This record gives sequence, structure tokens and C-alpha cells, in this order.
Amino acid sequence: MIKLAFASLWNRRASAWLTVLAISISVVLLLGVERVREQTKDNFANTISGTDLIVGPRTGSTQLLLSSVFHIGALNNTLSWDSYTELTQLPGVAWHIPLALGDSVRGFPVVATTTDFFEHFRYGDKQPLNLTSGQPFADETQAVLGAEVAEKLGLTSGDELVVSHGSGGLSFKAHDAHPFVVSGVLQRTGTPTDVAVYIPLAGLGLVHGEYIRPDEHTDHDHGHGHGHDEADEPPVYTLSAVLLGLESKPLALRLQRQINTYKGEPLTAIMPGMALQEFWKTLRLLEQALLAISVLVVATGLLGMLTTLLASLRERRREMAVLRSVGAGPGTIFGLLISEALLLTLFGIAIGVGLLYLIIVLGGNLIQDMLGITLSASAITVNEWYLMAAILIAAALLSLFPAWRAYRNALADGLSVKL
Amino acid sequence: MGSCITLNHLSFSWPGAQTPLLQIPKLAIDKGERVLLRGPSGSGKSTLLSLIAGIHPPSPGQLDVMGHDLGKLGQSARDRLRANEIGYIFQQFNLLPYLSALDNVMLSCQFAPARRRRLQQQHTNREAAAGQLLDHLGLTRAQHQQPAHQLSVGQQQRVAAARALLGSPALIIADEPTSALDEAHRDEFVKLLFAECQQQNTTLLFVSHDATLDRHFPRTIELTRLNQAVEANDD
Repeated sequence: MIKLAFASLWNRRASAWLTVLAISISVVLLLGVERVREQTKDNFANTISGTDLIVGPRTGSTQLLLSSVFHIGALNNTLSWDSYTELTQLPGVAWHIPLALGDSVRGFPVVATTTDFFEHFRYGDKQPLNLTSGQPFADETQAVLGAEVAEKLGLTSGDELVVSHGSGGLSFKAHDAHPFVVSGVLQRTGTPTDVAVYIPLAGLGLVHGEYIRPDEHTDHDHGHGHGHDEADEPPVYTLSAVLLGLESKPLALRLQRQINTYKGEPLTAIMPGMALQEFWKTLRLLEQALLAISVLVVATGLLGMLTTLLASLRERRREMAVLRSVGAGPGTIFGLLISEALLLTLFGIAIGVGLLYLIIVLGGNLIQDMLGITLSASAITVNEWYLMAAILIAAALLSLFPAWRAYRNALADGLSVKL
Repeated sequence: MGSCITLNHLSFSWPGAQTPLLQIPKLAIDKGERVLLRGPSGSGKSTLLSLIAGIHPPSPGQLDVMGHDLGKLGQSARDRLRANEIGYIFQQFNLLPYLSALDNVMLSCQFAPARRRRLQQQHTNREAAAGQLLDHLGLTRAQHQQPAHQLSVGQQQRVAAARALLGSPALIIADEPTSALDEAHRDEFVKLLFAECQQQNTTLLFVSHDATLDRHFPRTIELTRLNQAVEANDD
């Protein structure tokens, strides 16, 4: 019967191909949207791992997460250097990465930090940061670039760059008195580290005039002698956020409460995993809107098939009568129509999946460059199988209608067909 | 000999109709008989054929085909009986245009286990038997593989005859199969059909209003004379 359905469809191949095409395009859209959703969510969750707490000035958890991890938006308040030193001395803190944000290099955010960042920061599945070339910054005149920054600005190790104040692409105030030399470029991670410029805290302090070089100290402060230790001189006055790694994860809850009630100044501590999840929930509406649109497109594709099948029934009355004459029962006619719909849909899905992979493989880089969406040609996920099964089931249910019509026609017409 | 088709006070009317379309007191066609059924359009001819072919159900006890009271058989049992024991030839457009001539012939075994079984008993399979039938009916081997819509009308009718005959059904119903053929082709067709029916001892119910076909048939039935409903209605 499948063979018969196939032969009959082949006879009407022009309209059959169009139907298959409509279905396959809707499948590309549905699976594409699903893939973008899944992979964006994964990318999102992979931006930071291994960090137990993010501490910043008193603010909302989403805002702190966005500014410290994604470098989106600015924090109104800052965290004093004193608080930072207090944080580092809390019991159970294994490592700490101070972050000072707010400057930019031609639109790319500048993150002032310490070399601890390269040592302790983890992304994805606890993967460390690697450098494709050069090494981490060694002194306050060096900078490390994210992979995307290096590529977009065409900079490599040894090149110079100038940091400007503020996060805009064009700043009125460029700190060109203090250029930085690129010491290394980070490997691509698919996270916001790709699009950031990393400089030492002292470098930022220098740019902002908050930090005086030790050798300049001696020039200016001759008369005073050594009034203070160099270690006591903070490289910057304030920080934007601090990433903390703890000796044991269960400590996080206790420390979070402790930091949130810190007396010295109002602070906020968040657990990145939970904050990420919370933030993702706020995007759910958008996610669902996308899904709804693609489901509607699939419905349109299937309705197109329904129309084609229904329209074909009239011209196929002769075919049905011949089948009836050789003993095909109305049930067989019914099954024939269902198999046709399933064949069309199966082909549509198969071609759609093929198209999707073709688009990802051929156009993946273009999509990445233009939309910033990373799509990988990974194997079909369980969820995607479910979606395809759902399309097939929907097609089978829809085809009940033309099948029923054909069944009724077969009963009524019998062998006589008024042409 | 035994009877192939027996009508006993057959009365049939379409649902909702006031008067019966068919009212036939008695008719018996024996096994192996070749009968010409004649009647103008409107005489209830197609209705009678679709009743015999088991498309529409008669009342119990009125119509017996191959020993089965069709009024007592369900829809699918009648479909099965038609598939296994009845070969049906239409006036024209008999074939599925997208199948080859050979595939069209083999189609009659698709729903008919009894036909396949009989072919097996003759130590052949449907492909070989279908090819052989087409050979007998004068189609070349190349034409066997041609899509049906590329064949001439005469060839198409012969393919249809081969399909009806494949697997030796007990009864062939031919509904004006020659009306689209010219005289030479018509006689050729009838001759071939007769030869094959004779060989398989198949009953042939041949419908035509072509008077010149009379001489080929040992028995002719005038439906207008048989069907009392027509006389009563006289439309």
C-alpha cells in the first residue's frame, strides 16, 4: 500500500513536491528556533562555572549578574577596596577575582582584574581559560584580549591599544596617555570573555589616576620617606564586583547571608547558577513567542498539505473506483490517504532536517557574525525527536479528514464515477 | 454446472427513493456461461452490476453470487469476494495511469489472497502470470513496462482484461468495455476475452447496447424485459 501511495504521489509530483517543500521549510524553522533556544540557553548557562558567589555593591541579582558576567549595563554603586580585602579574608574563601568595569576599547568592555582571573575563572563544564598566543598580563601596561576582540580589531600580541572611559564606542575621553600593549589573546569560548579586554587593576588605576607607580612614588615622596607600605596602596579605589571561589560549596549559603548583612557597606552576594536560572525565566515569554510562531508555521505547512489532499480527491475518483474494482475496501482507501499524508510529512521532515544541517554547516559562521547566535551541528536531541514525532502525529490526525472524505466517496461512488 | 449468479425477486431502491429501481423476479446465470446483458441507460444496468459486484448491499435472500448470499455478507466480506472472485472491466479509464501495464495487471492480486493461491497452485507467480496474459492479449514486452497512460485505448482495455482475468476469478463483469473501440478492435477484444474465459472456465457477464455483438454470445438478456420496475416507471 505504501508503494501504491508512493506511486500515486509521484504521479502528482509537482504538487507533492510543493507540499513537501512547505513542510520542510516549516520544519527548518521549528527545529531551528528550538536549536537556537536550546543552544542559547546552554551558552548562557555556560558563561560561568566554578564561581560560588558573585559579590557586588547593593543591587538586584540580575543586574549584578549581567554587569559582572555579561558586561551588560553599568552598576550605579561600587564596592570599596576595604570591603574587598575583608571578603578575601572570610573563612572558606579559596580564591577571589576582583573585577572593575566601566571602560571600553572601541565598544568592547574593559575588565580590570588580577592574574587570578586567568588561573581561577572557569566557564562551560569547569573549563579553564587558555591563551592562543602570548601570556597573561605581567604588569600594568599590558592587556589580554578576548578572541572576538582580537579578531574584530585585528590586534595580536605586541600591538598597542587605548582604553577610553565609558562603555560607548566613541568616548569623549580617551586615556591615550596610557596605552596598553597586548600580551596575549584568549582562546574562543563562546562566552562574554570573547568580547572583553582584560587589563590589570593597576593599569586601570593608572589610567584613572588612582594609582601611582612605585617608582614615581619615590620621585614625589622623597621628603616623606616611606610613610606607607606598597602593599597597602590599593591599585584602584573601588571595584565593580568580586568573584569568589569557596573551599566547599555548601558554605555558599552561609557566606551569602553573611555578606548580604555586612556592616561595612551594603553588599549583594549572588549564586551565579541560581541567578542565571532566574534571569533565563524572565526570557521565557520571548522564548515561548518564538516557539508559538514556529508552531504556527508548521500548522500552515500541514494545512497546505490538507488542502492539496482534499483538492486531489475530486480528480482521483477514477483512481479510487479502479482500486475499489480490484477489491480495495473503503478502509484501504482510508489507509491510502493516511499513508500519503505520512509519506509527504516524512519527506518534509527529512528534507527539513537536511536543510537545517546544511544551513548550520554552511551558514553557521555568517549567523554567528551577523546575529551573534552560535549554532552547532550537533546530533538531533531528544527534544527535537519529540518535535518531529509531534509533527508526524499532527499530520496523521489532520489526514483523517481527507481520508474520511475519501472513505465516504468510495462508499457512495462504488464503481460508477460521474466524470 | 452449478449457478454463478442467482437473482430471486431482487428488488432494490436507493435510500430515500419512493419506487424501486430494480425489480427482477428471476435470473440465473450458470458457471462458465457467457451472457450478453443489454439495456439502454436508465434501465438500472449499472445498479445491477454494482449489486452483483458487491458494492451495494441487496436485501438477504435476493442475490446469490458464487454461493454467497450477498445480502448476508458485510461490506468487507463483499469487498473480499469481489477481490477474489470477480474481475471488473470498465468502459474506459480502467488503469492507474502512474503504474506500468504489468503493475496494473498485478494490482488485482493485491487484495486477493485467493487469486494468489490459485496462481501458486498453477506453479506460477503473479508477475509471470501477468506477463503471460499480456502476451496472450497481444502486448509487446516493451509495452508491459510502459506507464498505462502511454498505451492506446485498445491496449488499455486489453490490460484491463488481463487484470480482470489474472488469478482465474469465477466471474468477469465487463461494463461496455468495447464502446470506446472501433469495430476491428472490438471484435479482436471480444475474441481474446472469450478465449481466455474459456480457458479458465470463467463466467462472463458482458454488458453492451451494441446489437452487433449478439452473434458472439450464446445467450442475451434484455434488462428492459427483465426489470419490471422500468415497465412500471416507464421513464
